[in-house]
This record gives sequence, structure tokens and C-alpha cells, in this order.
Amino acid sequence: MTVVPTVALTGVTKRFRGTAALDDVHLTLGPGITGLLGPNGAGKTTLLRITATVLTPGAGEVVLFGTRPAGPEQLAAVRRRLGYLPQEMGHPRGFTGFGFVDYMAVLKEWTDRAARHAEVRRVLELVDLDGVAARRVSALSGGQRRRLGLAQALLGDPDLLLLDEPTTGVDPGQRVTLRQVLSRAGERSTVLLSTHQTEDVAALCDRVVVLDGGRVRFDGAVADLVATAAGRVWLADAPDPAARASWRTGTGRHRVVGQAAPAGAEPAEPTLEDAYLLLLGERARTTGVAA
Amino acid sequence: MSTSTGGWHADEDLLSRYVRGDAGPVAAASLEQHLLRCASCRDRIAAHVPVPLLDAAWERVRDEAVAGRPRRLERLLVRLGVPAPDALLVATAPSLRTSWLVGLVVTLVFVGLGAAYGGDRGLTFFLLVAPLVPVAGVAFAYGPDADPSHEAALATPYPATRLLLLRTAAVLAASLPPVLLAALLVPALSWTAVAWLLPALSLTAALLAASTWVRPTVTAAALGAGWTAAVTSASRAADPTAVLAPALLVAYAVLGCLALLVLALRSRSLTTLGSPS
Amino acid sequence: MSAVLARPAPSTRGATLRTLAAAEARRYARSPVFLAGVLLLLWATATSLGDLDDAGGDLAVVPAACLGLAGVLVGHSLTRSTSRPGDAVRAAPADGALRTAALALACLVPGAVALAWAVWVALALAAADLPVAIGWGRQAGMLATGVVAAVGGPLVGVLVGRWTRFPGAGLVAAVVLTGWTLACTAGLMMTATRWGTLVHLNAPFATWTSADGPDAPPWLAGGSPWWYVAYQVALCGLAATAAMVHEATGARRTRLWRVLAVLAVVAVGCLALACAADPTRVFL
Ligand SMILES: Nc1ncnc2c1ncn2[C@@H]1O[C@H](COP(=O)(O)OP(=O)(O)OP(=O)(O)O)[C@@H](O)[C@H]1O
Ligand SMILES: [Mg+2]
Ligand SMILES: [Zn+2]
Repeated sequence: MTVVPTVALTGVTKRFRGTAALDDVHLTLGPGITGLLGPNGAGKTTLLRITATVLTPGAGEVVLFGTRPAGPEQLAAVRRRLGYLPQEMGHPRGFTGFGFVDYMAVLKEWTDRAARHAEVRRVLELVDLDGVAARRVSALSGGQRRRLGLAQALLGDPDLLLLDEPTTGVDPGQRVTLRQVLSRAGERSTVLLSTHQTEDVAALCDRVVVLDGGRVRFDGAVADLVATAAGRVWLADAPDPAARASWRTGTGRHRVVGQAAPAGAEPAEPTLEDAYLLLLGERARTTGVAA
Repeated sequence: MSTSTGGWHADEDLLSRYVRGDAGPVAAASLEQHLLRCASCRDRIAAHVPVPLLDAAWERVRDEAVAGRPRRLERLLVRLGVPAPDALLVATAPSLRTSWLVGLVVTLVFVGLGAAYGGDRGLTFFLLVAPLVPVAGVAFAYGPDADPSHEAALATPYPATRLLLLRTAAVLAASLPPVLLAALLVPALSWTAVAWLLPALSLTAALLAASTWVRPTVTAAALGAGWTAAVTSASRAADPTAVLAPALLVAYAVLGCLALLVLALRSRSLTTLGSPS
Repeated sequence: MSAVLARPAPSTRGATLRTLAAAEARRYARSPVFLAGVLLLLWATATSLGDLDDAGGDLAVVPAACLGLAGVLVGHSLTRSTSRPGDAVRAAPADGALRTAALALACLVPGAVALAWAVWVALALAAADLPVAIGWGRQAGMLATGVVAAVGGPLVGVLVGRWTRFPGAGLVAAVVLTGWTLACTAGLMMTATRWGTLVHLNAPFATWTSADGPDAPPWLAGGSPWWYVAYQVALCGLAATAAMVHEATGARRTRLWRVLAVLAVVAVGCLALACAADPTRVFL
């Protein structure tokens, strides 16, 4: 028996006035959490938009839940099963937090008022916003607004959850709460999560996709990516200008990520961040001083 | 009927039937009389009221409070028979908010003043503004400029075309009658007071058709510039009402129908970000 | 060792205002609506200069429409676009009143264009060698109304952008100004009294020539053009001050309110003086 993947992208390409935001991307996703990493402008948002059916690819094929969403009926059927948090999300004026999620729930075809309100209350509790749901959205903090956007994406417990930088501006305590929510969602649904926080990916995802310049540079288990950095991370007493990256850590020693060990360095345990820096090589090169 | 509470008390069966609502009108009425005076029966009836029902009522009250008061327009639409979810979606459009309607009234007052006392130029002014009122309203009823959560809304199963048409209908219903009323109050306008409706509808249809390519505000600006150029050049040439010549009125009708056809054929592209910001 | 970052030296309010105003002026000059207005102004003036008559000063309606009325939209959109990324801008060292002042100064850009236009038309009038029945002073005053209107429109746009939040407010303001102006032309239909002049001249912009019928000889309305220009300038000051009040706080706000009151009195005074002049019409 073959399992139909939730998302199957083949040869997806998208150009904006000549520059390729996505270039021949092949990607298959099933249940579980996949992290999407990549530098600014790598095409993460474009990939999520195309997967969320709000952008049509220039070339290639998008198959969601085993169907190509061509006609309006297929499109609606696919959209009924997905939740999407865009990177930039405003809110219409005048809504309370509850009112906004309620509005999105109406768009998601929750017509019965009582059931809808119960669902809205559920997702607001999930993201820990039930306390401030009566406030105007304009009076919420940036992180609270971000969580409101996430609540909206969680409506109806979608089979496919597409989140574009869900944790920007969210405090560490809430990030952990959100990790719990997402890991529970990932047990059943397919979650694709774009982020710049490698620690979120390390904590949550079993699989990671690294995009760069519109191309997939890595697609595999998080552990496999981390393993590529084994033996290439050191703690040294001085910065190493020849390394991919080196910075002073809080302990006063310098973490060096590169190809060759500097003199007097001792090996260190690689992290996902180190592996990411090494993978992207020159493009992610940084030498600086961190407090 | 005895007013003493000494002898009779309601039995458990009657209390539970009363709570369920099938005690019968006579028994229910006398029980209510009795409950008013008898504390012990009041205590006992509380045990018969199912807890989930109370909770549900409480939650409903709380949700109403938390969701914020429905907008006046939303309540009005519901009273007019629009399904409540659709009413909520329609009332979210910025160009249907109170501030916009206040702006419309101010506009009409000054257009009316200008048209009434401004002579030929006043007529030009009216012809310029009136057909663009619904165009501006529709431009700020749908799309990324009107709805900051447009992208998230697109990813929902709610049909984008339906949302666009619902809001357009609401904007037309809210803006055309006041403009018409204002126009009819100005005697200087004569038949122009009605004839502008045709270009207004045709421009609105053109806006809808073009919104399948570019965002509505951009189209509205282009249509506004084009209409302004047409009216002012007609006015400079001789007579501003030349833009309402019978042949042109037919052309507006034809163009409007064509635009609606284009909208129907291209409505698929409303379901995606045409030119994302 | 880490490099020492170069921080801008703390600047005075005046220097900050100059920098901000220059930036806003550049944004104004690049606005497509403004550029379209300038093109329209050039085209409309060039086509009208061919058949100049004695009342060439009434050409002022062209900059008033192409720069002033269009400027309402420009001023409004510039104001809205600076207040959109709200928090970031609010946290910047320049406070809100200063930013509004910079926007108000940027409104001098269309004023400069209108001034150049006025010189152009004046030269054309001089070259045409018309029989000057109404005197150069009046003629110049009429041209000046167009220059002031080109500044006033954008200022109203800034004012509306500061005080209202709904997107169509700029359009509504443009309609209000037009309707007000047109309604006041009713004063030209009335008999030539001081009351008629008051109806005519309370508008934010006024044209001066009219006729009693399609074939009747044209005449020039009564009232004083230069006091009317002063009234217009006072209105501009009112708009700019009222826009600045919105963001100002504390003592500065109180002071601005006082300025507003003084300007209102000045405006009424100038209007009264403009209407107090001889109301009789001059046939051309
Ligand atoms: N609407 C658009 N018009 C033109 N170019 C675009 C558009 N959207 C994206 N691009 C370009 O496509 C490329 C990929 O953009 P995208 O937003 O997908 O990057 P990203 O990986 O999400 O970046 P970030 O981490 O900054 O969010 C960029 O070079 C960007 O300039
Ligand atoms: Mg992005
Ligand atoms: Zn009893």
C-alpha cells in the first residue's frame, strides 16, 4: 500500500521579473514537522505561498493531498484542509482578538455560531491568548499578534499547516508553549515551518530543508545535517579569520566553525547552526564579536 | 387557589419536566407562582437544571462580550435577511465602516453645493465625482489594500469571487441611493441626476474585471484619472454632459457587460495573489 | 578590538527639521500625482496662452487645480505613508510635530513650481501687450491666488492625513475644497454688494472674471485681490498649525492652540478687508 504524500512539488519554479525566487524545487512532505531554513531572499516565503495555493508556480507541478488543485472545487477542498500563517499578517481594523479569529473561522466555513465560537476559544487557549482575547488587536503586543495569526492557522486542526516564521517576536516562554502545540499538531498533520531560528528547528523538526537562491541545498534528517559539521567546530582562544565563522562566546573563548582546526583549539559539539553555516559556506560567512 | 406554602411542594418529576420544558402550560404557570414564594423548591429545582446548558449560556454571553459588539451594519444586514456569516464578512470592508459613510455624506453635501451654485462647472464637478463614488468604495472593499489579512483570507476555502461580489453589492447598495438622492435634490442637474448611474455601474464592472489582474486600488486610480480626463475635456470642448450622450450610454452598457464577462472568465485568478506586495 | 561605530552627532531641532524637510520634499517631487499635475499644468497653460485676454490672471485656476487640488491627494498620501510604520517612526528622535512641520515645508515644492508658472504667465501677459484695464497690481494678485492655492491644497492633505485614518479622506478633502470653491461662485451671480463679495471670496480659491450672459461683456469682480491672498495665506497657516497640533504634546501643544486662535482671527480680518474694498465690477 502506498501512502499519498500531503505535499508533492515537482520542478516548481517561480520567477519575479527575471530573478528566480524558486528554481526547480522538488519536495515531498508527509506527516511530521519539517523545518525550512535559508538566508533572506532564499525563497522560503515563495515556497510556502505556492504550497498554500495563494501563488501559482511559473512552472512545475503542485500536488496536495493527492490532487492537483486546478478547478475551484478542488481548490476549496484543498484549502479546507490547510492552515496558513503568512510572513506578514495585518488585521482588519476594529476587531478584538477573538473577533478576528472568529472572522477567519467564518472564512473557513464554520457557519454554526456555537461550534465556531467553541473552536475559536479552543485555538486561542492553545496559543495562550484567551486572557487577552477581548482586547482590540491594535492594543496587543507584536508577539501576541503573531500568536493570534498562529491561532487562526490552527482553526479546524488542519491536515497541512504552513507557518512562515511563526516565532518572530514571541518570547522564550511562549516559544516553548508554541513548540508544544506544534509538536502535538505534527503527530497527525504535516507541518512546514519556515524560520531563521535554528534552535526551533533543532527542537521541533525531524526533517529540515535548506533553501538557498531558490534551490534546495539540503533535504534530510536534522541529525544528518548536524552530522555534516562533526569535526569542524572548535573552541579556541583567538578568533580565526580563515574560518567560515568565528565569534567570541559568553565564556570568553572563541567558537570557530571551519575546515581546519586553529592552533590550540579543542573540538566542540556541533549544533544545527554550525552545520547550516558550513552548508551555506561563503554566503553565510560572518566574522564578528558577539557579546 | 391557596397562597399558603404549608402543604404542597413540587415533586421531583414535575421539577424535571418543568426544566425540560414539557410540564404543560397550566402546571408550569402554577409552579412558577409557587417557586416565587418557596425557597426549598427553588433550591431543589437548581439540581434539575443541567450544568452544560448553564455553561453553554454563560459561554455564549462571554463570547458575545469578547468578540466585540457586531457592527451596526452587520446587525442591519442580518435583520435584512443576509446570513450572519456573510454579514460579518461584508461588514469588515473598510469602505463600509462608519467613517467612510461619514466621508460619503460630507462629499455629497459639497458636491450638491457645488452643483447647485457652481453653474456649468458645478455640473462638471458632479459628473466627475458621482460615478467615481462607487468605484472608490469598491476599491477599498476588497484586496490587499483594504484587508491587511488578505493573504491569509485567500488560503481559506471561502470563494474569493463571492466575497468580492458580496462586498461590491453592499458598497453599491450603500453608496448609490445617497448619491442619487443628493442629485435629485439639485434641480440644476435635470436628467443628468439619473444618467450618471450607467457610467457608474460600468466603471464599477470595469474595476471588478481589472481586479483579476491588478489590485483594485491601482485600477481605481487609473479609472478615476481616465474618467476625469474624459469629463474635463468634454467640459473644455463645450458641454460636460457630452459624456452622457445616448451613443455613449449604450457603449457604457456594452462595456459593463463585457467587463462582467471578463470577470466571470477570469475569476480563477482572484483566488491567488495576482501581484503580491 | 571592536571598531567604534560612528554615531550621528546630536543635532539641533532646526538641523533635524531641515534634513527631514529635504527628504519629504524629494518624496513630494517624485510623487506620480504631482508629476502628472505638473505636466497637465504645462499643457493647459501652453494651450491657453495663445488667446490671452485682459483677465489673464484668472489662469490661476490652472495651478490651483493641477497643483493644489492634486496636492491634496499627494499631501495626504505622504502623511499616511510616514505614519504607517507607526512604532518605528514614533521611536525615532524626531518627534511627531517636527515630522509634520517637515511635511508642511515639503508643500512648498508645488508652491515653487506655481511661482515659476506665475512668472511665465506674467511675462507672456507683458509680451502680449494687452490694453491693461485692470492694472498690474490686481493682475499680479490674481496670479498669486494660484500660487497660494498650490501650497494650500497639499497642506490640507497633510492636515487630513494627520487627523483622520480612513483611506479615502484625501479624496473627500479634495471634493470638499472643490465644492466649497464652486458654491462660492454663487457670489458672482449676486448683485455687486459687499455681501456678494463675501459670498464670493470666502472660498479657498476664487476666480475673478464672469459675465452676465453668454454674449454679455465680461467683468472683473469687486473686492481686493491682495487682501484675499492674505486670507488664503492665513488659511494655509491654519491648516499647517492644525496638522502640527495633532502630534504635539505639553506646552508646545498649548502654544500651537494659541497660534491657531491668532491665525483664525487674522484670517477673518483679512477676509473682512478683502470684502471691504469697492464691490463694483470693472467691465473689461
Ligand atoms: N512579489 C514579489 N515581487 C518581486 N520579487 C519578489 C516578490 N516576492 C519575492 N520576490 C523575490 O523572490 C526572492 C525570494 O523571496 P522570498 O520572500 O521567498 O524569500 P524568503 O526566503 O522568504 O526571505 P526572508 O527570509 O527574508 O523572508 C527574493 O529575491 C525576493 O526579492
Ligand atoms: Mg520570507
Ligand atoms: Zn415548595
